[in-house]
Amino acid sequence: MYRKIIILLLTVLAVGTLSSYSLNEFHYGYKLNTLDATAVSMGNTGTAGSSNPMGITLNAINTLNQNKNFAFGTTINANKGEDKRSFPMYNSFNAYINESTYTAQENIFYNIGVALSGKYDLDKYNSFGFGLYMTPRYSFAGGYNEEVRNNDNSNDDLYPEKIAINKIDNEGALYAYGLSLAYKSSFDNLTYLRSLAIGANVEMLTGNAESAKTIRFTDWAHTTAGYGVLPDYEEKFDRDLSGLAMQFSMNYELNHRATFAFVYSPKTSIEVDATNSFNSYRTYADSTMMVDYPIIGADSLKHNFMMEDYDLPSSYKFAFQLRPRNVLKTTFNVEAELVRWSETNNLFEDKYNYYLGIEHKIIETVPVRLGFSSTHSYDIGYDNDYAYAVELQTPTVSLGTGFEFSNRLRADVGFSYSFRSFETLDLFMDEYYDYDALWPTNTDTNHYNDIILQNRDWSNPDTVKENIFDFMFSLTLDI
Amino acid sequence: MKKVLIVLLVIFAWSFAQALIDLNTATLEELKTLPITEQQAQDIFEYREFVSFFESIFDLRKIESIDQKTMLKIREEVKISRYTDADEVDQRREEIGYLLERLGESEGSSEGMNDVWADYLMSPQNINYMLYEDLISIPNVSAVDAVAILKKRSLGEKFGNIRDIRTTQGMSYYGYSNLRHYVFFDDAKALNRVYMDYQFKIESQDFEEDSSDMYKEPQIRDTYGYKVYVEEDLPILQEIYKEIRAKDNSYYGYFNLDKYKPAVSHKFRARYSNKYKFGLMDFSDKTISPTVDKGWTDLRDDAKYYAGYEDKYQAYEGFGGTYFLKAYAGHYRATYGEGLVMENTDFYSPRKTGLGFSKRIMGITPDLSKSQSTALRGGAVEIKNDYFTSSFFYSNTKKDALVYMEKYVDENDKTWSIPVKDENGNYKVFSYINSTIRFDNDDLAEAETHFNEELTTTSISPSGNETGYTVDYLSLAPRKNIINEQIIGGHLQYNPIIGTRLGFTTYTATYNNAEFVVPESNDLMRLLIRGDNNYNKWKQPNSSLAAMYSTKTDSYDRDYRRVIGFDGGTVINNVSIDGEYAELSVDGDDMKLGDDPKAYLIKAHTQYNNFYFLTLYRNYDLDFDNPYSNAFAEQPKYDDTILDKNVYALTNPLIADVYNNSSQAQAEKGFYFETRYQFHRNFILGRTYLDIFERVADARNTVRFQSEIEYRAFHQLRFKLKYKNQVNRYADDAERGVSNTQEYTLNARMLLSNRNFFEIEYRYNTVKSPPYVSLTNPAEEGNNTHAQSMSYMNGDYIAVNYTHILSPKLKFRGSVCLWNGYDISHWDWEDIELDFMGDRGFKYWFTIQNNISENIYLSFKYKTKIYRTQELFIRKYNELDDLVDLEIPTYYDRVEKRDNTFRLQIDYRF
Repeated sequence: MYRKIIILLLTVLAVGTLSSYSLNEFHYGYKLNTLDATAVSMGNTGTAGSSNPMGITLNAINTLNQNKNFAFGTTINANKGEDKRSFPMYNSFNAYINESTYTAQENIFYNIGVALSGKYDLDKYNSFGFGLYMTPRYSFAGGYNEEVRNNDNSNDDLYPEKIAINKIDNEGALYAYGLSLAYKSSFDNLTYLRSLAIGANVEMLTGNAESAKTIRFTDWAHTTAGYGVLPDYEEKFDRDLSGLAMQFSMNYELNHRATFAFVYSPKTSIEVDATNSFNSYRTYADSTMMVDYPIIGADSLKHNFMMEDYDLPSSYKFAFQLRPRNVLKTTFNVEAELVRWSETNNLFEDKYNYYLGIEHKIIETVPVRLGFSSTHSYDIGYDNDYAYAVELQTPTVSLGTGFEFSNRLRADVGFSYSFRSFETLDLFMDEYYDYDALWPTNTDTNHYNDIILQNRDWSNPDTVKENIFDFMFSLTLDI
Repeated sequence: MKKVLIVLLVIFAWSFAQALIDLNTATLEELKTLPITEQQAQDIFEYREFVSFFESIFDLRKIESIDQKTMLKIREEVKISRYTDADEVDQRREEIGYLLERLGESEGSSEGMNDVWADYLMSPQNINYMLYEDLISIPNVSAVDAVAILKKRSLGEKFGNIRDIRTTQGMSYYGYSNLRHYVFFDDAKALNRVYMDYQFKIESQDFEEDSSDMYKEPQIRDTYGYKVYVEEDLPILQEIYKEIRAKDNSYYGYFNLDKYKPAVSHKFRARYSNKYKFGLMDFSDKTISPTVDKGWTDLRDDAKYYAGYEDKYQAYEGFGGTYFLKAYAGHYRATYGEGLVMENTDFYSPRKTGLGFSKRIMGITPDLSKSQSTALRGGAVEIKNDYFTSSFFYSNTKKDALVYMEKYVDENDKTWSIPVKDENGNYKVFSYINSTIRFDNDDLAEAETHFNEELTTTSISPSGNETGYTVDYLSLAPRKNIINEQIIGGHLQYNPIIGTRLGFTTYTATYNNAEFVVPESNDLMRLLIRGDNNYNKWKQPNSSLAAMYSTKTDSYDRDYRRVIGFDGGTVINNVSIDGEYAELSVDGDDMKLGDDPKAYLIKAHTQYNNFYFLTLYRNYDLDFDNPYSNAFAEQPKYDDTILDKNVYALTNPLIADVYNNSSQAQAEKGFYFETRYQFHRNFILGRTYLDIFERVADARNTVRFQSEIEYRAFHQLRFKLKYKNQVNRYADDAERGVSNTQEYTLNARMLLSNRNFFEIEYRYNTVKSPPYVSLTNPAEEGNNTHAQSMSYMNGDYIAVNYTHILSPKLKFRGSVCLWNGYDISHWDWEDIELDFMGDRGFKYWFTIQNNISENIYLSFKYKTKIYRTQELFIRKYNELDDLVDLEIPTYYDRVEKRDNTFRLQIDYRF
């Protein structure tokens, strides 16, 4: 066991010195909220106290906040992502006026997490908590479907001809298998100290991400351009990811109303073991033949950096929980988090995230939870050999409630909605479809209708608008 | 022995009686000694600690685990003491909670004055010492009300309770009901303690339509007008258009302003009673980095802060009784008279009468508002008593300005725009500017270099001529914190009798590194407009730009701007008359009145209990250019000039901010009448006004009328009918540009229950106006006389608003609005935003107002607006033909836009 840990530590050290990229939403996965329906409905708060077993993934000391000595919890998460991509639109004075949406995606993904939490009172003042959990930390699942059409027929209010279908199909997640340990010492008769607690989470991160990107020309395109001319394209990645993450926490309970918590997560290196393949095919009337790579425009589709190891940034989270006297029996959480993005890539800057959550109990067994958070993350955009940092800011509003089936079994539901907007480069550069035959030309001397296919660079990027809906259902069994 | 036993028994019984457990103070251990389960004891303890103190034994039944039987079982063993942990401050907060809530919500429109009012709500002033200015600075307290209070006091009567205010002769009910919250009486204890308020606000930043258009305007070479008739020329032009159609050719694309980045602000205030005060406010937005990342220099320039002292002291006999002293260091506001000489705020509000809800707080007040352009930082002192008021202020700040630029080509052939300096090292400045986004100077310089690259590009036209701009670089640009401005000013006032006052105000702003230069008309036109084909956009209203103040002209050369003014007022029975006269020193004699640009305003306000009438006359000269004034007007300065209507023609679109964020009044002269009359128990003639004025810049006449009738069927049901009409026309026979707007609104408000409020509103409006190409789709070319091409537009909306009060601590509100028609305005209920809505669409918003505890107040608002608007069609898919053939204007029929906005605010008062 020790040998394994030492090997792991050595691996982490070795990986840490390699050039690496940070995890980000677009290329490297979507950071999942903690799979705790209570926390999610309260704006992803709960670091300074959550009674849901899945809350131990936020702070190991939450093992001591469970209602009974042992608790088992599981959460099912459904995530619906809407993604609209548009290109810039100009008026006749060449002024940029707006964005024109050219493709819209809607995907639904599912995740599941489980946690087991226990606590043991050593004596009246000291207690010990422990927990085990499995939760997905980052999801790589994603789907994209774009139709490339020319503008034939559009003057007659008919559908233009379809030239090709571009697809991206991603799967996989990075899972955390964690162990939580916590220790709390309580004090009597001290005015400004009720208890102190420390805790740690140790997580094995492991997962697999598969990515497939394809361009398939349509029959119409093959027929129009002539067989054997248009190359279909296929690109596949298969990455095995692994790492070891730690989280250290400390809670300071001022009195029975106020608790402060501090959580430090050191930088985590993710080791990537990747295989990839690029293929091109030319279609003939009766058979398909593979052609040599590279082909025109395919270079712009490659993302070699995805094969490299990368880091997850360290973070410092400060949390505060208040339980004032209120006829609605209230719990109020405020959290601020500093994420040290700058230590993972020199294009990034350190960022602050804010989280806020409220729970009101309308009656003792029925809570209403509301929350808000504003978080940052980064994406990397590539233009030829240049890398660009794309900063993503995500505001999220959330709400939720819970039900008690018995005094040992309860369910919580949480719903959150996030929206964001950012700029990025075209996923499939236009140059790839630059075959004259596919694009109609009008040679009327007074009215030209030529279409120039040009790769849009950072002077004309895509605008992406995303709506993300998260639904969580948690079941908790107190044993 | 028997006696001893009896005594012991009594003692035992007594001690038993004493052993009753007080549910409101018992510890958990004590509760556990009751004949109930441990869980029940725990539940009782939790209820008391986290829900509420017990008011009666029956409250135990509100706890789920306590049934009737258990309650009866312990009934004899427990007692309930009257207990609360809310101190007097909490109680006060509870009392005025709804007023604080209201102030907190309307922060945006009231320029930070709400902080001052909130302070006075929390620690009120003693009505037996308040002066005239203190009284009339309170919302909805009129001059007549103030005089009524002062007169009663002058007769030796003291105010001992609110009934004394109510029974004051001449005091209106409206004035009384507002004043009572802001005052205390001699026998009330002054709260000498420390108060602290912290406010955190995070909100998405959106651009108004004007700002959005300004930032999206591209900086492009002079070639888009060409048409191609020869096939060979096509590739050349396609190449050109490919380059100029880059998103980063505009400020919008260059700075990626589309990116969602919320603005975060922190505001902290502390004070001890109403004596010692301290405040700090800082914010970050799209271009300003977060507070924690700022260095000291940035914090000094971006943040606002103050430290102040306010107190009264008794002077020796014969020296006028009680004196009041105010002293502030840091940021402060100064307001005198009708705001003609000095009222420093960046926020323009139309028809600011200084009455009712559009109040001014007179004198010196601390400032934590977001004003930057007219912020004063330095020191201010005010001393006043019943007869005299004197205040002096000094400010030393750096201001943003629109600066003349010269061209500089560096060794890498990059064309820079750098600020012009004269031989004395002074910057040549066009005017102050209050930028929508305060870009960093270095970032702006980089952006200008990027745009200059495009502007300096020469092309060959199809006919073979070389084309290009005469001025091929950005020659006028805003710069942050560039002018050193020092202000010395003051106000002296004498009050011979109660309610009558005569005042004198002046200030001098000195610039030690800048000179203001505004050229004569033709040069001005060429300075502001790019491309001679746009010179015909230069119209009469632009004379207000030519009338801007210069420190250097042919006839004088100086380094300051000086304004002097007189104000005065009196109250005769129930009529108050106020006025102010101000003069900007230009080429006349400083000591002589009437020989310099001037502005004056006079108003009379008559007040009865259920009726008031206001008559106001204002007359402002075109060249009265005082950036620190904020007087009554229908429109802000530079309305309808090229900065307003033709942003695309400007040499640098950012110049438009001189108009967009102007807080000065437009030069107008004319009468304004306003009234409100409750003529029946069920009927009210709501705020009704008639404004007849002339815009001085081009002698355009406007008549604007608005009126509303409210029918209060009974308490829970009210209907309102509102009508608005505005006609603009020129007083000549040419019938140039007559426009006529009519608006009809029907509103019903229903109180469905104590917890549910419902409101529905329908508005219909019509606009008749001269053709405006983008609206008339398109106006016919040729043969158009104005009369023939008058366009007629109409639109309507329907909106519902619903409030549900879940508990006094938790309130939900929501609203949905559906509209069809161009430019209908809609005021979001009890909210700060006036929304102009384009074409057709719908929007909804909801807010949650939540009292977490006695001293934490949270509000959250989320809004989505989805609308469709017409756009010029230009692009199917990278297609360029319309540029080539501009003769066929085509449109994207409907382009959908969607805006999501949110605002979260937390107030923590302790």
